[in-house]
Amino acid sequence: MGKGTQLIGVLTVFMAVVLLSGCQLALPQSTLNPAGDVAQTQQNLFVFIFWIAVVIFIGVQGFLTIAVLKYRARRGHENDVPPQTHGNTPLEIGWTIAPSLIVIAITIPTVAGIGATYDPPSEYADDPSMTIEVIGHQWWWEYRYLDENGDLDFITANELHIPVDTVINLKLSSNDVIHSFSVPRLAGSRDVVPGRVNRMWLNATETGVYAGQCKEFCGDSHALMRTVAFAREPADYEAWAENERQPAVDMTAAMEPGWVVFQENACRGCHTIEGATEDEYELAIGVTGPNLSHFGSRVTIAANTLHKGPADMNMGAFFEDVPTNPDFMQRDPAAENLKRWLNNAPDVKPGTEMPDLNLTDQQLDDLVFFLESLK
Amino acid sequence: MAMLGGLLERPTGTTGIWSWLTTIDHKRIGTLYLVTAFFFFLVGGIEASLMRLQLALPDSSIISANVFSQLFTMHALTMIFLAIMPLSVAFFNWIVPLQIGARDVAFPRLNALSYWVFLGGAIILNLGWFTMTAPAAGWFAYANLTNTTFSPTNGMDFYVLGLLVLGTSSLLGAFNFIVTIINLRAPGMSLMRMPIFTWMAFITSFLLALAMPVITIGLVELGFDRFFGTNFFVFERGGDVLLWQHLFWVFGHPEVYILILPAMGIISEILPTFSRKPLFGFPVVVFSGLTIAFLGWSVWAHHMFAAGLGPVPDAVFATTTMAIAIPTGVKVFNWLATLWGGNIQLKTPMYFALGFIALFTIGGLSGMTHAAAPSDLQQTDTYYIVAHLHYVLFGGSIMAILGGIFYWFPKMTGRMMSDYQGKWSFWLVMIGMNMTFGPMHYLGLVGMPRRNFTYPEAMGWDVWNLVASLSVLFMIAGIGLFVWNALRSARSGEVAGDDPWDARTLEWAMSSPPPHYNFAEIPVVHGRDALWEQKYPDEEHAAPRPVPAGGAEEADEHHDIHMPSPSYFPFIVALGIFLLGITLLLYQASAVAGYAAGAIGMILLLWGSYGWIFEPTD
Repeated sequence: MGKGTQLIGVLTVFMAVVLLSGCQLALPQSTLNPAGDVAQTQQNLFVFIFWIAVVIFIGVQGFLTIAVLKYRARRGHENDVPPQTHGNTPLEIGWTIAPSLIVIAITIPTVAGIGATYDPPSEYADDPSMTIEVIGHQWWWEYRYLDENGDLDFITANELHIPVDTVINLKLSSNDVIHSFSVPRLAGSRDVVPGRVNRMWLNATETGVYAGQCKEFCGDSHALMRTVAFAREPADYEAWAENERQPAVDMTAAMEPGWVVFQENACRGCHTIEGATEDEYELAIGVTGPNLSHFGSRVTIAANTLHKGPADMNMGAFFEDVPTNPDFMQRDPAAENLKRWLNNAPDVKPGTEMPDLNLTDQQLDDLVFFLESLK
Repeated sequence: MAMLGGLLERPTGTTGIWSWLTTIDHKRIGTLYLVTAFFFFLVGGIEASLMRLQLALPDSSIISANVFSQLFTMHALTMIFLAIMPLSVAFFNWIVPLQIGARDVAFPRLNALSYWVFLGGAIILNLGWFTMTAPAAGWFAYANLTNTTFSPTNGMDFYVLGLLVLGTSSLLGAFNFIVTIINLRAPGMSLMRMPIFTWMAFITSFLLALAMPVITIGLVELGFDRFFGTNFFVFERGGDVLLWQHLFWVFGHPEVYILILPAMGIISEILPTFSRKPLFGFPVVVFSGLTIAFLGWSVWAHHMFAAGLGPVPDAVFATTTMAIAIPTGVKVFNWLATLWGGNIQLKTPMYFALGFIALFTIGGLSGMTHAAAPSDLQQTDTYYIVAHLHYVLFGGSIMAILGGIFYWFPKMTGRMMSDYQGKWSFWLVMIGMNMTFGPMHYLGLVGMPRRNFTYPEAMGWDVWNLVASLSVLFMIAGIGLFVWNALRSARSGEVAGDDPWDARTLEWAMSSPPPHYNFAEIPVVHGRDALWEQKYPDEEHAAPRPVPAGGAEEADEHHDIHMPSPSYFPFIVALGIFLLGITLLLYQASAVAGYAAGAIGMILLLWGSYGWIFEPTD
């Protein structure tokens, strides 16, 4: 026999992996390694139920195994008729009450957890220390940072920067279909629903770089609608924000050839570059695609479909390298990944509205130089 | 009338293709359902295998994003609507009339109609494969991804029309079985003497009759949005995309119980038979089934914890969802108590039933972790949910169905399947299933979302995806062996006899396969487990008493039993419904073809119904 035994074996190995891997592997998108209060509450609840489930699991599978071993038909007695027991009322009442008590024991922390995670702690409810509007697009994220008056401060895309140990309020809305925003190490998901403004909050209790991605199926490239959250020391965050508030750098002569490619390929119809004067990046005012005013300061491409590291660096290595390496951007002077994207975006991200530009090598070099200059 | 009725006299053939097209015998219709649904089960398995092929390695590009979306959408639709549901209905058809001592269902022609309409709906749903434009917005098809802007191919049209036609079939079947079970029970078979599988069929039929109209409303609204430009789900013009989610899950959660309750019924027959002991706490098992079905209506928004309904709805739906764990737990405990003190025969059906308990328990326990809304927000739309639902639907429904096929195969064919091969297929499926879906718990917990056509390397997901993909081979081997076993045994298996398992219920009281009239004499029922009580009337001494087979020997004496004759009209009406189902699709391609299909479909529907009503009895 040993069906139950086999299962217990499988599950033991499995649990060991679950418990050990949290500390050994880099798991930038794991729900088991929280770095924020919301994710911590969610994990605490999971772990609590998990251990209750383990006890019930062992009980049921153990009983099943024992019953089968103990009462299996013996050779020569296959046709014996055992006592025809129809039931046992006290027993049945007992095993109705027992799961009821367990359910109550789980429901109480569940409801408490909903209260603790749905709305931010009350001291932040009226006076959000920081609010970011998150807008879902097929298949990228627009982040609009608001100032203390609730007015637009600046716009960026796909890379969410937040100060550590600060409650962040997110207002979620969609430009097209339903998406779902989540950065599992900070907070579980909240849907981004067209026609509604959903809210969620999160904070990061330690600095770091956290992976996230859209969780509600939103079309063919749903898998490539990713995001990266950078939780930074307040001073670092403020320096980044101050740079984002500035218009794009003034055009230099070296950037001119790339700007020509940008114009000729109608990039400006979909992307905004905010110049210091109105005519500097003339008519680069599109809003269909991400705002590129500070594209050169980002480390990812196309909602982290690709990163700006060397083309042979895998995504796990990227997440390990990026937080500790201030010169990450210099890792790949050839900009292979960026060129791949610029040259034929639909090949990288099926269904994207960015067309196959089919550029020459020279055009690609110029365009990369131009974009990377937009620090 | 005479002329129209005379056009198509009732067919009389008992062999050949026409006998199958016109049959109204519940057993032959059950066989049609079984074979068709098992075919679609294999199709759904191929779709799943292709997805696992793509996901075996990170950054893989064997299958394109769009085809992958079609595969996961069609895999779910196929397994739910074209495999598990109709496999359950196959058992309803085959077994329920036999268990309650009836000669057929209440409306035999309606029964044939539901099969043919089902086949039509299944074809419509799969038509997209011919143009590689199958539905690609998930089986849950959340608005507004489904409108013509975001789903410009006709994939979602196949979805809307296919599911509407399939829903018609489900409703016809549901009403038929409700009436059959209420009205056609043998004398003495009170509701609490009714076999547990029939009870679960009864409850499931009510769920179907109540759930299908809800999805129908959603489908009609979506169809109107797509075909006629209405705005039910167009948020820019005042529509509400969450309306679809509510409609879908008000249907969708009871649907989960439509998929699992028949499976619970099957194993509640197998466990007592192979323990040689009655189902422990029969009334409680019935009542917990009813409770699950009832509570199943109050939990739909647990699929929408992330939708932002607010803290109070989340708390309410988390609590109601938790409550379902109570009757479910009670069922598991009663199954375990059925084993305790029994004389357990470890034959293949029992392996599958024991496997059901072991695996369904895991699925139920993982369900607890996402009934807790905050915990669910991390797990929703990850592989953790994929693992959970496959432990319930594969480890639960499919294991029970495979066990059920093995259990009732001798009754259906008169021959036994090979027990040795059966146990091999059990272990292959069991190992494959745990190695494929088990690691998905972990994958989900470390953040891998579902419905992703690819995933980046070294996020901690590589190893277990490869393990999951390779383990599919075990399942393919196990299912393949099972099919081979069934095909070979149907021709040359050991002859079964009337009652090979020494079982407890009335379907084993007649020859195998049963005569077309089932019971030569309608039995009188004096207790639960009607056959067992006849065989072992004296519990104290438990001496078996031979029971005359309910038909075989006396068949010749009873040749005058009147059974309704076969009929062409169910097939004709179903063909009309099929043509009406594809009218809008054809109209988009060519107006002439659309009008033609609509006109012919309408004529067939009306003429078929007319002929049906006035059809002579012989």
